[in-house]
Amino acid sequence: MNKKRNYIIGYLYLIPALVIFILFTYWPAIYSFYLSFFNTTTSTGHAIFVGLSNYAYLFRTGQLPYAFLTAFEYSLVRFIFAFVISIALFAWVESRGKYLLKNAIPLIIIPVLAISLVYPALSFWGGNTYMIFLWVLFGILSFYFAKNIAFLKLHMTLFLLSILGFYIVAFYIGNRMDLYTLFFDIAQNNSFVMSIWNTFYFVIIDVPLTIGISLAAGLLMKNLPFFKAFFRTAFFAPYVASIVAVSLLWLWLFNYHYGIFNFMLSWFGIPPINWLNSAALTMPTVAILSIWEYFGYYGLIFLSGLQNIDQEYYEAAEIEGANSFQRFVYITWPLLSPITFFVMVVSLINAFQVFTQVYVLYNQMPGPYANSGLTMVFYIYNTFYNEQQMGLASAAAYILLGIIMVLTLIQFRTTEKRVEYNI
Amino acid sequence: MKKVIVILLIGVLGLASVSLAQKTEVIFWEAMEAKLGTTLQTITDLFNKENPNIEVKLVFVGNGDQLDSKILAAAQAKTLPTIAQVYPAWAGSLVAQGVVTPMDAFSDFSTVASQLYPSIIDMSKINGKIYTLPFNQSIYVLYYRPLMLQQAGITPPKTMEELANDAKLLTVVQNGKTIRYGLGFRTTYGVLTAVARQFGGGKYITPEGSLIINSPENVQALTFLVNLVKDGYAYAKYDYFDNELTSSSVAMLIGEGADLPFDLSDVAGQKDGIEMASFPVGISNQAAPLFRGQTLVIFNTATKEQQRAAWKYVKFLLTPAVQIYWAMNTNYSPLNKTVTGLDQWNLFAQSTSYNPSAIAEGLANGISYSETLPWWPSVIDNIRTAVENAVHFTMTPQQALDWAQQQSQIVQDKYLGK
Repeated sequence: MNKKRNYIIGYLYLIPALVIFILFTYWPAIYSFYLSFFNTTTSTGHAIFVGLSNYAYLFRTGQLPYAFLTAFEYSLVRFIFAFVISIALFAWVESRGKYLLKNAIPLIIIPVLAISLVYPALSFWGGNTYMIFLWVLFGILSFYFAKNIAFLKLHMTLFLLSILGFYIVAFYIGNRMDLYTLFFDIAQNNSFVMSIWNTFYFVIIDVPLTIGISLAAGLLMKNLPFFKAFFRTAFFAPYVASIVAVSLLWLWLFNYHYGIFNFMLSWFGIPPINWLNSAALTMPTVAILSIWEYFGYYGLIFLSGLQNIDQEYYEAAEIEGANSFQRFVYITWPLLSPITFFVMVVSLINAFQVFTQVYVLYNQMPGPYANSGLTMVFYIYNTFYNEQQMGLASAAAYILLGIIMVLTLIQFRTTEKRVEYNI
Repeated sequence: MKKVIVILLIGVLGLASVSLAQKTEVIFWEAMEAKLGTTLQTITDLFNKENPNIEVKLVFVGNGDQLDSKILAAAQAKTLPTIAQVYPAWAGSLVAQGVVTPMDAFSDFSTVASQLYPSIIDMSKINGKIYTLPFNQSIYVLYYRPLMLQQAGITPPKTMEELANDAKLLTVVQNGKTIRYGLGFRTTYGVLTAVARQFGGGKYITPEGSLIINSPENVQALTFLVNLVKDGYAYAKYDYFDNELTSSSVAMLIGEGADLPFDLSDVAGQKDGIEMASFPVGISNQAAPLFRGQTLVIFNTATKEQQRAAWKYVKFLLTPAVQIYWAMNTNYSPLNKTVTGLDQWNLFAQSTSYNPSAIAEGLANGISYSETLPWWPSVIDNIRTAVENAVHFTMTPQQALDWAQQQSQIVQDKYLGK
C-alpha cells in the first residue's frame, strides 16, 4: 500500500513538467503535422485541406531533361563498373598477382569486358535493356567472388573509397547523364531540393571534422602538463557565447578587405579569398564557424570519456613496449567508442539543423547568391515567416525530421555493434 | 464628517475614472527602429497632446517581417491592435480575411485624398477600394560622393546612359586592381525594379494577373546592370555598402532614401560626405520613381470609436507639417503633395547639404515596389535570386528572368489552387 502511494506521489510530481511538455512541445509538434496537410496561403483567405500535395510540391521535379529511369540506368552502369574494377584490384593486391587463372572470370574476363564495354554502354547503347542485363550479371558475379577476399573485409573504408574514385572516373565517360546531374537539374528549379543538397554538403564537411578536432582537443586537454583549466575554459567559451555575437565577430574575421584570415594568407603569398561572397565557399565558411563553435563542447565530452579509461591498460601496454600511436589505436580508440558514438549521433542531428550561422553571416539571406546557403531549416524559416506558408513549412519540417530519424537509425544499426561498452 | 469625506472621495474617484474612460485608446503596432522610432514617438506625443481624449500607444514589434507575422497570427487569434503598419503583400491577405476597415469609408476621406499624390492613392487600392494609406514610403535615389565627381569633372548623372558613362569615368584601376568602382548596387528585387522602371518595365504582373517577369524591358534593365559589373565599373552584392563607402571604394550607390539615417549615416557625417540625386531617368525621359515602404491598416475588430480615433491619427500623420518633420528626420518621401510648395520644405531642401529635394521629385509618377498579393514575397525572393545569378554570371539575364518567371508561375498556380 505504502509503495503504491509512493508511486502515485511520484507521478503527481511529474505532472507539472508533463503539462508543460505537452503544451509547448508535443502539442505544437502534433499540430504542425496536422497543418502540413493544409494550404494556408490561398486566394480564399482561409486554410484548405490539400492532403499530401504539400509534400508533393516540395519534391516537384519540373520538366526533366531526360527520364529518371535513364539516369538510374546510367548511374547503375557506372556503379557496377566501379565495383567490378575495385574488386579485381583488391583481389590482385591480395594475391600479389598469383592464382589469377583460377579465378579468371571475376579477375580478368569481367574487368576486361567492363573496361571495353563501359564507353558504349554510356554513350550510343545507353538505355539498351540487354546491356543493362549484362552489367547486372557482371555485378552479381563479382559480388559472389567478393565474399572470398579477406583483405577487402579488413579494409572496407578503402574499398568504398575505391568505388567512389572509379565512379568519379566513370562519370566523365560517355553522356553526362546521371542521377547526380539529374538531381542538380531538379535542385535548380526546386529550392527545397537545393536545401537538402546544401544541408548534406554541410553535414559531410562538418561532422567528421568536428569529431576529429574535438577528439584532438580532448586528448590535448587530458595530456597537457600545464594550463589545463585555462584550455578547458577557452575551448568551451565559444559554445557558451551567443551565436549571434560570435557570428558578428566571424563576419569581421572573414572580411575580404580587412579580415584576419586573408591577412594571414597574405603572409604565405596566397591571394585573398572572398569567403563571404562566393557561392562555392558558402558551406565551408559556415562549417568553419560551426566547428569552432562546437569543438570545445564535444572536446569536453571526449575528455570525460578519456578520463574514464582505466590507467592500468596504458601501463600494461607500456610494459609490452607499445608506442603512443599503438596505445591510441588499440586502447584509447576502442574504449572511447561509446563516447565517439554519442558525439557522432548528436553532432549529426545538430549539423542537420544548421541555420543561425548562415542567417547572421549572410545578413539574413540564404548565402551570398544562388541560394548557396539555403539549408533545410533556412527553407522552413523562410517559408514560414517570410512567405507565411505554414502548411508547406510544416511539411518541410517533417521531411527534415524523417531524414534525421532515418540517418540516426542507420548509425545505430551500423555502428552500435562496434561500440565497446565494457570499460 | 468621516462619512462625508468618504462619499466625496468616492465621488471624485468615480468622476476621474469616468473621464479616464472617455479617453479612446489607439494601439499602434509599428516597426520603426532607432531614429525612426524616436521620430514617430515625438510625432505621436504631439498628437496625444493636441487630442486630449485620444491616447495613441506605440508598440514596437521588431522589424517589418516580424511585425507582419505577428499581425497575421493576431488576425487568427482575434487579438489585433487598432492600427498597424504592414507590407503591401500582406495588406491584401488581411483584406481577404475581412478584418480591415476601408479608409475611404471615413466621411472626410476625399479631403485627405485630394492632398496626396494620386500615385499614393493608386497603390493603396485593393479590389478597387482604398483599404490602406501609407505614411512611410521611400523612393530609390542615387547617392554619390561629391568630391569624387568633382575630381572627375562631372555632375551627377541625369539619365541611365550618363550613369553608365559616369560609372566608367569614376572607376579607378591601379596595377590591374580596381581600387574604386564607379557604381555600387545591392542585388535586390528593389534595385532591379527601380532600374527596370527607367527602361519601361518594373511591372511583373498584368492587371489580368499574368506574370511578365521576363518581359523584354525587364531583361534589358538586368542586362544594363550586369554589363556594368562585367565591364568592371560596378560592384554588386547583397550586403549593405557602408564598408565600401567609408573606405571610398565606391563613388556612386543606388539606394533608398530611407537608407540615409541607417547604413549611410557614418559617411554622411564625413567631410566629403554623401549627397543624393534623383534617380537617373531612362527612355521616357521623365522621373519614374519606385516607392518602397509599409502601409497603414485600421482593423475593424476595434470599436467604432477607436477606428475613428485611429483615422484621426492617420490624417495627422499625413498633414504637411508632420510629413515635413518626418522627411527631415528620416529621409522618407513627403507624400502630401502640398509639401513641395511650402516655404518650410523649400528652405530646408535648399539649406541642407545632402540635397533632400531628390526624395520629393516626380512622386506623382511613382509606383509601389510590391503587389498587394500574399504570394508576392515568393516572387520577390525569385527575382532577387535571378538578379544574383545574373550579376555573378551563373546565368544570362534572359535565363535568370525566365527562371524567375517559371518559379513564380508555380507559386501563383499553387495560390490559385491549380
